[in-house]
Amino acid sequence: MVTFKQPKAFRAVDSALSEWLSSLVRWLPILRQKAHNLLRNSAMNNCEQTRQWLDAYLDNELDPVNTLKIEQHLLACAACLQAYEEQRALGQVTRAVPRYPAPAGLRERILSALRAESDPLTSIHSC
Amino acid sequence: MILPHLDAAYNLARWLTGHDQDAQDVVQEASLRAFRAFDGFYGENGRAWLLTIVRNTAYNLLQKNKSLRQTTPFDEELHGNAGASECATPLSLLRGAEDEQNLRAAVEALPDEFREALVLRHQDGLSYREIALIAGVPTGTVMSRLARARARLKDFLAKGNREEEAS
Repeated sequence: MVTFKQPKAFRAVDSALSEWLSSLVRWLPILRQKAHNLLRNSAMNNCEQTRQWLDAYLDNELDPVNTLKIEQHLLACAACLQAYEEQRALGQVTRAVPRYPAPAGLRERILSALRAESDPLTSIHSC
Repeated sequence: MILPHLDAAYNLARWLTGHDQDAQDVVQEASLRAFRAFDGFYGENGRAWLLTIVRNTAYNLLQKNKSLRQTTPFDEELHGNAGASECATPLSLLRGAEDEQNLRAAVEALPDEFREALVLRHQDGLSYREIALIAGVPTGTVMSRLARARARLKDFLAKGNREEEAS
Protein backbone atom coordinates (compact mmCIF):
# COMPACT_ATOMS: atom_id res chain seq x y z
CA MET A 1 0.00 0.00 0.00
CA VAL A 2 1.26 3.40 -1.00
CA THR A 3 0.79 6.19 1.50
CA PHE A 4 0.86 9.79 0.38
CA LYS A 5 3.18 11.81 2.45
CA GLN A 6 2.90 15.62 2.26
CA PRO A 7 6.13 17.43 1.58
CA LYS A 8 7.55 19.21 4.56
CA ALA A 9 6.96 22.66 2.97
CA PHE A 10 3.25 21.90 2.47
CA ARG A 11 2.85 20.93 6.09
CA ALA A 12 4.46 24.19 7.19
CA VAL A 13 2.14 26.29 4.96
CA ASP A 14 -0.89 24.30 6.15
CA SER A 15 -0.09 24.86 9.81
CA ALA A 16 0.64 28.58 9.27
CA LEU A 17 -2.65 28.93 7.40
CA SER A 18 -4.70 27.23 10.11
CA GLU A 19 -2.97 29.29 12.77
CA TRP A 20 -3.77 32.50 10.82
CA LEU A 21 -7.40 31.41 10.41
CA SER A 22 -7.83 30.63 14.10
CA SER A 23 -6.30 33.97 15.09
CA LEU A 24 -8.61 35.70 12.58
CA VAL A 25 -11.63 34.01 14.17
CA ARG A 26 -10.36 35.09 17.57
CA TRP A 27 -9.83 38.74 16.46
CA LEU A 28 -12.94 39.06 14.31
CA PRO A 29 -15.33 40.25 17.07
CA ILE A 30 -12.72 42.75 18.28
CA LEU A 31 -12.16 44.07 14.75
CA ARG A 32 -15.91 44.27 14.25
CA GLN A 33 -16.31 46.28 17.44
CA LYS A 34 -13.47 48.60 16.45
CA ALA A 35 -15.02 49.24 13.01
CA HIS A 36 -18.38 49.89 14.67
CA ASN A 37 -16.83 52.42 17.10
CA LEU A 38 -15.01 54.12 14.24
CA LEU A 39 -18.24 54.54 12.28
CA ARG A 40 -20.11 55.81 15.34
CA ASN A 41 -17.37 58.35 16.13
CA SER A 42 -17.31 59.57 12.56
CA ALA A 43 -21.11 60.09 12.66
CA MET A 44 -20.70 62.00 15.94
CA ASN A 45 -17.99 64.15 14.38
CA ASN A 46 -20.31 64.92 11.51
CA CYS A 47 -22.98 66.10 13.95
CA GLU A 48 -20.47 68.10 15.94
CA GLN A 49 -19.02 69.69 12.81
CA THR A 50 -22.44 70.35 11.33
CA ARG A 51 -23.57 72.18 14.49
CA GLN A 52 -20.32 74.13 14.50
CA TRP A 53 -20.75 75.21 10.87
CA LEU A 54 -24.50 75.69 10.88
CA ASP A 55 -24.26 79.46 11.42
CA ALA A 56 -21.68 79.90 8.68
CA TYR A 57 -23.83 77.71 6.39
CA LEU A 58 -26.91 79.85 7.03
CA ASP A 59 -24.82 83.01 6.51
CA ASN A 60 -23.58 81.71 3.11
CA GLU A 61 -20.01 81.87 4.39
CA LEU A 62 -19.04 78.24 3.74
CA ASP A 63 -17.13 77.02 0.71
CA PRO A 64 -19.01 74.75 -1.75
CA VAL A 65 -17.39 71.51 -0.51
CA ASN A 66 -18.37 72.03 3.13
CA THR A 67 -21.79 73.37 2.08
CA LEU A 68 -22.40 70.10 0.30
CA LYS A 69 -21.17 68.09 3.31
CA ILE A 70 -23.61 69.94 5.60
CA GLU A 71 -26.49 69.45 3.18
CA GLN A 72 -25.79 65.73 2.88
CA HIS A 73 -25.64 65.40 6.66
CA LEU A 74 -28.88 67.34 7.15
CA LEU A 75 -30.66 64.93 4.80
CA ALA A 76 -29.59 62.01 6.98
CA CYS A 77 -29.73 63.41 10.54
CA ALA A 78 -33.06 64.43 12.08
CA ALA A 79 -31.46 66.00 15.19
CA CYS A 80 -29.21 68.27 13.12
CA LEU A 81 -32.13 69.13 10.84
CA GLN A 82 -34.06 70.30 13.89
CA ALA A 83 -31.06 72.39 15.02
CA TYR A 84 -30.94 73.86 11.51
CA GLU A 85 -34.65 74.83 11.69
CA GLU A 86 -34.07 76.50 15.05
CA GLN A 87 -31.08 78.46 13.75
CA ARG A 88 -33.03 79.49 10.66
CA ALA A 89 -35.86 80.81 12.85
CA LEU A 90 -33.31 82.62 14.99
CA GLY A 91 -31.89 84.18 11.81
CA GLN A 92 -35.37 85.51 11.01
CA VAL A 93 -35.57 86.90 14.55
CA THR A 94 -32.21 88.68 14.37
CA ARG A 95 -33.09 90.19 11.01
CA ALA A 96 -36.28 91.55 12.61
CA VAL A 97 -34.31 93.58 15.19
CA PRO A 98 -35.28 97.18 14.33
CA ARG A 99 -32.61 99.56 13.00
CA TYR A 100 -32.03 103.03 14.32
CA PRO A 101 -32.44 105.39 11.36
CA ALA A 102 -30.19 108.46 11.31
CA PRO A 103 -32.05 111.55 12.65
CA ALA A 104 -33.13 114.10 10.05
CA GLY A 105 -30.72 116.83 11.23
CA LEU A 106 -27.60 114.67 11.36
CA ARG A 107 -26.78 114.94 7.67
CA GLU A 108 -26.82 118.75 7.77
CA ARG A 109 -24.88 118.79 11.04
CA ILE A 110 -22.12 116.66 9.50
CA LEU A 111 -22.07 118.63 6.26
CA SER A 112 -21.57 121.90 8.13
CA ALA A 113 -18.87 120.32 10.32
CA LEU A 114 -17.09 119.12 7.17
CA ARG A 115 -17.45 122.55 5.53
CA ALA A 116 -15.95 124.18 8.62
CA GLU A 117 -13.13 121.63 8.58
CA SER A 118 -12.28 122.21 4.92
CA ASP A 119 -12.53 125.99 5.12
CA PRO A 120 -12.21 127.41 8.63
CA LEU A 121 -12.57 131.00 7.34
CA THR A 122 -15.99 130.27 5.81
CA SER A 123 -17.26 128.95 9.12
CA ILE A 124 -16.04 132.09 10.94
CA HIS A 125 -17.81 134.35 8.40
CA SER A 126 -21.00 132.33 8.52
CA CYS A 127 -21.20 132.56 12.30
CA MET B 1 -17.74 108.51 0.97
CA ILE B 2 -19.32 109.42 4.32
CA LEU B 3 -22.89 110.46 3.55
CA PRO B 4 -23.96 107.31 1.64
CA HIS B 5 -23.11 105.27 4.76
CA LEU B 6 -24.58 107.69 7.28
CA ASP B 7 -27.45 105.36 8.22
CA ALA B 8 -25.14 102.40 8.82
CA ALA B 9 -22.73 104.62 10.78
CA TYR B 10 -25.47 106.04 13.00
CA ASN B 11 -27.08 102.62 13.54
CA LEU B 12 -23.77 101.10 14.70
CA ALA B 13 -22.97 104.08 16.92
CA ARG B 14 -26.49 104.02 18.41
CA TRP B 15 -26.27 100.30 19.26
CA LEU B 16 -22.80 100.73 20.77
CA THR B 17 -23.39 103.87 22.82
CA GLY B 18 -27.03 103.24 23.72
CA HIS B 19 -27.87 106.97 23.39
CA ASP B 20 -29.07 109.09 20.49
CA GLN B 21 -27.02 112.20 21.32
CA ASP B 22 -23.85 110.18 21.94
CA ALA B 23 -24.39 108.33 18.67
CA GLN B 24 -24.77 111.62 16.76
CA ASP B 25 -21.57 112.97 18.38
CA VAL B 26 -19.74 109.76 17.50
CA VAL B 27 -20.83 109.90 13.85
CA GLN B 28 -19.85 113.56 13.55
CA GLU B 29 -16.45 112.95 15.15
CA ALA B 30 -15.90 109.84 13.00
CA SER B 31 -16.85 111.74 9.84
CA LEU B 32 -14.29 114.44 10.64
CA ARG B 33 -11.63 111.83 11.35
CA ALA B 34 -12.46 110.04 8.10
CA PHE B 35 -12.30 113.35 6.23
CA ARG B 36 -8.87 114.15 7.70
CA ALA B 37 -7.52 110.65 7.04
CA PHE B 38 -9.04 110.31 3.56
CA ASP B 39 -5.76 111.02 1.74
CA GLY B 40 -4.26 107.96 3.38
CA PHE B 41 -7.10 105.65 2.35
CA TYR B 42 -6.21 103.35 -0.53
CA GLY B 43 -8.67 100.52 0.12
CA GLU B 44 -11.73 99.54 -1.89
CA ASN B 45 -14.19 99.09 0.95
CA GLY B 46 -15.16 102.59 2.03
CA ARG B 47 -18.06 101.41 4.16
CA ALA B 48 -15.92 99.03 6.24
CA TRP B 49 -13.31 101.78 6.62
CA LEU B 50 -15.85 104.33 7.84
CA LEU B 51 -17.52 101.81 10.18
CA THR B 52 -14.10 100.98 11.65
CA ILE B 53 -13.61 104.67 12.50
CA VAL B 54 -17.17 104.88 13.91
CA ARG B 55 -16.55 101.80 16.06
CA ASN B 56 -13.25 103.09 17.41
CA THR B 57 -14.71 106.54 18.11
CA ALA B 58 -17.65 104.95 19.93
CA TYR B 59 -15.35 102.83 22.10
CA ASN B 60 -13.21 105.89 22.89
CA LEU B 61 -16.32 107.74 24.02
CA LEU B 62 -17.49 104.76 26.09
CA GLN B 63 -14.07 104.57 27.68
CA LYS B 64 -14.25 108.28 28.53
CA ASN B 65 -17.78 108.08 29.92
CA LYS B 66 -17.52 104.81 31.76
CA SER B 67 -19.94 106.07 34.36
CA LEU B 68 -22.49 106.69 31.63
CA ARG B 69 -22.92 103.05 30.84
CA GLN B 70 -21.22 100.27 32.76
CA THR B 71 -20.44 97.30 30.57
CA THR B 72 -19.55 93.97 32.11
CA PRO B 73 -17.23 91.69 30.17
CA PHE B 74 -18.93 88.48 29.14
CA ASP B 75 -18.46 85.62 31.55
CA GLU B 76 -19.81 82.24 30.47
CA GLU B 77 -20.48 81.07 34.02
CA LEU B 78 -21.98 84.32 35.18
CA HIS B 79 -24.10 85.19 32.17
CA GLY B 80 -24.67 81.85 30.52
CA ASN B 81 -27.96 80.17 31.31
CA ALA B 82 -27.24 76.79 29.82
CA GLY B 83 -30.22 74.62 29.08
CA ALA B 84 -32.69 77.40 28.43
CA SER B 85 -32.29 77.06 24.68
CA GLU B 86 -33.22 73.40 24.83
CA CYS B 87 -36.84 74.46 25.26
CA ALA B 88 -36.69 76.87 22.30
CA THR B 89 -38.61 75.82 19.21
CA PRO B 90 -38.63 77.81 15.95
CA LEU B 91 -42.23 78.84 16.70
CA SER B 92 -41.51 79.97 20.26
CA LEU B 93 -38.52 81.98 19.05
CA LEU B 94 -40.62 83.77 16.47
CA ARG B 95 -43.32 84.40 19.07
CA GLY B 96 -40.73 85.93 21.41
CA ALA B 97 -39.59 88.26 18.64
CA GLU B 98 -43.06 89.65 17.97
CA ASP B 99 -42.56 92.21 20.70
CA GLU B 100 -40.20 94.84 19.28
CA GLN B 101 -39.26 96.14 22.74
CA ASN B 102 -38.41 92.64 23.90
CA LEU B 103 -36.21 92.07 20.86
CA ARG B 104 -34.38 95.38 21.32
CA ALA B 105 -33.84 94.56 25.01
CA ALA B 106 -32.44 91.15 24.07
CA VAL B 107 -29.85 92.73 21.75
CA GLU B 108 -29.04 95.51 24.22
CA ALA B 109 -28.35 92.88 26.91
CA LEU B 110 -25.55 91.38 24.79
CA PRO B 111 -21.91 92.23 25.54
CA ASP B 112 -20.59 94.99 23.21
CA GLU B 113 -18.44 92.74 21.04
CA PHE B 114 -21.33 90.30 20.44
CA ARG B 115 -23.78 93.11 19.77
CA GLU B 116 -21.56 94.82 17.22
CA ALA B 117 -21.02 91.54 15.33
CA LEU B 118 -24.76 90.86 15.27
CA VAL B 119 -25.67 94.39 14.14
CA LEU B 120 -23.03 94.46 11.40
CA ARG B 121 -24.03 91.02 10.13
CA HIS B 122 -27.81 91.19 10.31
CA GLN B 123 -28.57 94.86 9.89
CA ASP B 124 -25.86 95.88 7.46
CA GLY B 125 -25.33 92.49 5.79
CA LEU B 126 -21.54 92.61 6.18
CA SER B 127 -19.49 89.48 5.52
CA TYR B 128 -17.45 87.76 8.25
CA ARG B 129 -14.33 89.17 6.60
CA GLU B 130 -15.61 92.75 6.69
CA ILE B 131 -16.69 92.41 10.33
CA ALA B 132 -13.26 90.98 11.18
CA LEU B 133 -11.66 93.99 9.48
CA ILE B 134 -13.82 96.45 11.43
CA ALA B 135 -13.41 94.74 14.81
CA GLY B 136 -9.71 94.00 14.25
CA VAL B 137 -10.05 90.29 15.04
CA PRO B 138 -9.61 87.06 13.02
CA THR B 139 -12.58 85.73 11.00
CA GLY B 140 -12.84 82.72 13.35
CA THR B 141 -13.44 85.08 16.27
CA VAL B 142 -16.26 86.78 14.36
CA MET B 143 -17.79 83.36 13.72
CA SER B 144 -17.63 82.40 17.38
CA ARG B 145 -18.92 85.81 18.57
CA LEU B 146 -21.89 85.53 16.24
CA ALA B 147 -22.63 81.97 17.37
CA ARG B 148 -22.50 83.01 21.03
CA ALA B 149 -24.55 86.14 20.42
CA ARG B 150 -27.26 84.07 18.74
CA ALA B 151 -27.20 81.47 21.51
CA ARG B 152 -27.64 84.21 24.11
CA LEU B 153 -30.44 85.78 22.11
CA LYS B 154 -32.15 82.40 21.87
CA ASP B 155 -31.84 81.92 25.64
CA PHE B 156 -33.20 85.41 26.31
CA LEU B 157 -36.25 84.88 24.10
CA ALA B 158 -36.87 81.35 25.40
CA LYS B 159 -36.67 82.62 28.98
CA GLY B 160 -39.12 85.42 28.16
CA ASN B 161 -41.56 82.91 26.69
CA ARG B 162 -41.37 80.66 29.75
CA GLU B 163 -42.02 83.59 32.09
CA GLU B 164 -44.97 84.66 29.95
CA GLU B 165 -46.44 81.15 30.01
CA ALA B 166 -45.96 80.90 33.78
CA SER B 167 -47.75 84.19 34.53
